Amino acid sequence: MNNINFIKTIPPHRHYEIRRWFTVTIMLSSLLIIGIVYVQTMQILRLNEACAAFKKSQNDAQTYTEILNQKNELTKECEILKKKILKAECLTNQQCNLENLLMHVKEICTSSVHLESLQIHKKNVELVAVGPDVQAAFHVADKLNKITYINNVKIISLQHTQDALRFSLTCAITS
Amino acid sequence: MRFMPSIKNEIVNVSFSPQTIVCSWIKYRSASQPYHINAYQRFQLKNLELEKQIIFNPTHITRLITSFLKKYHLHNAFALFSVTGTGIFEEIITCTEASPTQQHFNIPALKKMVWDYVYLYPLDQARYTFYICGIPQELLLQYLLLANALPVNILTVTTQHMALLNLYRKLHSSSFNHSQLGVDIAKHHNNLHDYFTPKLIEPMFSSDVAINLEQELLFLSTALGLFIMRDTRYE
Repeated sequence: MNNINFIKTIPPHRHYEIRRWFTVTIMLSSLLIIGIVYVQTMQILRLNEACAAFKKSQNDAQTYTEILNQKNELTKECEILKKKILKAECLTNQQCNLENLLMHVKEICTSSVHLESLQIHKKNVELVAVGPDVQAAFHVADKLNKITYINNVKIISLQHTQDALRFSLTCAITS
Repeated sequence: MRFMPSIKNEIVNVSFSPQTIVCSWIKYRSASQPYHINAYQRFQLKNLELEKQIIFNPTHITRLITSFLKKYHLHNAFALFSVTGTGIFEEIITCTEASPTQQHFNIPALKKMVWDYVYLYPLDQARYTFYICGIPQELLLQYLLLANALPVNILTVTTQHMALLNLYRKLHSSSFNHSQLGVDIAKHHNNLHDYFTPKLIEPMFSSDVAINLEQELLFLSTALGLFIMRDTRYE
């Protein structure tokens, strides 16, 4: 025999099922929300950390660029200095340097020949000395001619003084 | 508005009959004496609060039922309503169809009602008897509004006769048959409530409250029938 019920209602066990479903849904939703919030918070924190690290690395990169530029400038300066040093060394090591020239001139000028003046220009040298005779002048000219970095030796003047002969010589310097 | 409605796993029966409201709280106990009446109270309505089953004074009726619920701490229990009276359409009808549909019952009075039918017993010459009952929609709405005003979860709104039919079936349990029901109903001139006697009902229940069974027989039978209707153990 069927029952007559004028209304359609949810049976009691459905009430309990709905309650259970509702409770479980709320709990799960809450857990899900908490989980999402936690994960999102962690992600935001990580993102902040990454941002901070990136900013720091950006600063470091700027510093690095500055240092690199400085280094390049210094390198360029260093290269210029090295070139200068090389040039100086080259000049120092050249046979035609001033010291060598003076040494050679000193060697040439013996006891009979007295050096009066020595004018060293860029490419040529003018020498004025006093010797006993013409032979001495030629002797000096020969000796100068024998020096490797000196050529084109010319006696440009001979002048008798009281008991000596003043002569002047010019020569070219080759590097 | 409640966020999540509370539930109390108790069943409260409320019977509305002319000038009377009966509230009872019944629980299942054991197979030998299956029902235990925890609470039972009859309210007499003398000032036309309930006339032709129309609730004229819902405040008073709500107060009466709420006082019962409050007294026995039955807030948010499940409620079963049974209604009887002139405002309700009830009829025993003979039909030639064994399994008729609602279209087979062409009763004009039912057109504006919420109604249903139930098979009772067979007759000779391939005729079948059905119990048809209907309630006007506005009246049903009144009872639903009343239930809404009460702290209960309404489960059923039915007629007293339907509750008694259930009690009859429970009384006969395994030996129940429709032909015997027909005989018994015919014997009591279609008044099934005359079938139940104190002797028949008494073994079915125990009670905490003192009940004058002679006086309360009809209401008690209705209450038991209502409870049986929702008691799953019955099936």
